[in-house]
Amino acid sequence: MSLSPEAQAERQLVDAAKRGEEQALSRLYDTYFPRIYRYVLARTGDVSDSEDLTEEVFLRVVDAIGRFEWREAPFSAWIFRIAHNAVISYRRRNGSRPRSTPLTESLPVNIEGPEDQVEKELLLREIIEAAKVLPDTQQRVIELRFIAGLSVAETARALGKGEGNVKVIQHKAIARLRDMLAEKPRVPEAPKVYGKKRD
Amino acid sequence: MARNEIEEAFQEALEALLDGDSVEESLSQHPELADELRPLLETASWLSTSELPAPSLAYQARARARFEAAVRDRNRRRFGRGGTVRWIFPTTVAAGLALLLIAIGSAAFLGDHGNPFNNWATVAGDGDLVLKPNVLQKADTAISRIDSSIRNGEAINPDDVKDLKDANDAIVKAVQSGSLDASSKVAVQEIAGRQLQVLAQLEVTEGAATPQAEGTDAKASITAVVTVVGKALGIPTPVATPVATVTPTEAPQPTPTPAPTETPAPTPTATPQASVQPTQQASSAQPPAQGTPSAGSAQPQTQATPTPLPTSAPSNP
Repeated sequence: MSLSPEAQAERQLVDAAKRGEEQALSRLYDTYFPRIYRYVLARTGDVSDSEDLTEEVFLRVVDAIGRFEWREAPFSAWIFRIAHNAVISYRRRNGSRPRSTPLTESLPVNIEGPEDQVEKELLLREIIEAAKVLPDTQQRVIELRFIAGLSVAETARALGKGEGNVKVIQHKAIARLRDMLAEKPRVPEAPKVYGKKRD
Repeated sequence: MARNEIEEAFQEALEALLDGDSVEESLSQHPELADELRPLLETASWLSTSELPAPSLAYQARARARFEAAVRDRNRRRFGRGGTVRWIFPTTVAAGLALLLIAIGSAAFLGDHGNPFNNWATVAGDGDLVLKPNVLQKADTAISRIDSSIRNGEAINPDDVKDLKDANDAIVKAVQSGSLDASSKVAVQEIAGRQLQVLAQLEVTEGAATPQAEGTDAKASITAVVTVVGKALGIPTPVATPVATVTPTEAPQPTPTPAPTETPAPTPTATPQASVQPTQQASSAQPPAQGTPSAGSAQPQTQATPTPLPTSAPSNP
C-alpha cells in the first residue's frame, strides 16, 4: 500500500527524530502538542492535570521514540496510545481525587452572552460524559476526530483501521451520542456559532 | 435509499460542516436526506464547536523548554556531548541552524518578552548555549556595587538591584536550559559564588537594622540564582548553610567585642599581655561576618581564596 505524501513526510520526520535530530523532534512536538493536550483535557476534564500529563506524554516520546517500529502502527497511533495510557494511569493513580482546575472553570469566554456560555459549557460536559459511555473504539474515534482534530485519514492511521471503517464508526458514534443526549431533558439545538474553518 | 448512500451523504455533509459551513449549508447538497441527517449534523456541530481551553502561553513555554531539555539530555546520554550533532549533520553549522530555528520559532510563539535565549545567549557551533558577556558583566558590576554599598554602610542603589535581577534572570534561564557550554558554566559558578558571599552580608545587615526594600529584592534574586546554580552545577562553597545559619549568630557579636579591648590600657603593669589581646580581638571584629563561629567564619575564607571552580560539574542535573 503506497503512503500519501503527508504520511511519507511524517515518516521521514519520525525517522529523523528516531536518529535524534532535535529539529525533527521539535517539529513532531509542534504537530502533536495541541492535539495531545486537547485529547488529554477532554479525557481528564482537568486543566492542571492535563498540563502535567501532556508534558509526561512528550517526555515518554523522547525516551521511547528510538524504539518505535513502523511495522507495529503509524506514529500517530503510537503517540495517541502513549497519551491514552497516560490518562489510564492517571485515572488509576487519582481515583476519586477532586479535580484541581475543573474544565468548566477554564472554558474560554466567547462572544456569546453568559447564558449561552453556561449552556454551552453544560452541554460540553454532557457530551464528554456521554462519550464515556460509548464503546471504546467509538469513543476514541470521537476524541481523535472532534477533540484532537485529526482528519479521517489521520484517525484511521492512529487507530490502525481503514478510512471507511473509521467513517462508519464515526457515524454510529454520533448517532448514539445524539440518542443519548436526546434522552436528556434538554435536547441540544444547533449552536449559533458553527464550526470554524480548520487549518 | 441504500444505507451506504446515506453514509456517503453524511460524510460529505460532515466534512462541509467541519470546514466551517452551517448545518443548513451542509445539508444543501442532500435536501432529500435533510430530516435524517440534520440531528446527526447538529450533534457533530456541537462536538466540533466545543471549544476546549487552549493551554496558557506560560505553560506552553514551560512544557517546550522541558521537552527540549529532555531531547538534549537524551542525545547526550546516547551519543555523548556533541556526538549527536556530528553524527546526524554533516556540518556543525547545520546543528546550529537547527537550534536557531527552534529559538526563532519559540520567539515567534512566545512574543517579545518570552524569548528563551535571544537576549542573553548565543548558540555555539556544537549547539551549546554561550552566555553573552554582557550578562555576566552586568551581574558582576551590580554585585560589586551592592557589595561595596553594604561594606560602606550605604543604601543599596535600586538601579544596581535592577541590573542584578535582570542579569540573574538570564543566568537562571541559561542554567535551566541545561545546555550551557563549559566556559559559561564556570563563569556562572563564579558569579554565583560571589553572590553567595554578598548574600551572607545581606543577611547580617538585615538582621542588624531595618531591612531596605532593595536589600530584600537583591536577596531574593541572589537566593534564586544561588539555588538554581547550586542545584544544577554546584557552587564550590557551602551552598545552603550560610544562608540559613548566619542570621541568628550575627547581630550581637561583632559590636560589643571591640569595647573591652580598649580597657586593658589603664593597667600599666600588664602591658605585654594586654598588647596581644587587643590586636587579636580588634582584627576579628572588623568584618561583620567573621564574628560568627560556624558558617559565618566560612565566608571570609572563601572571600579570600579566588574560589577555584569545579569544571566537572554535571552538565544536566
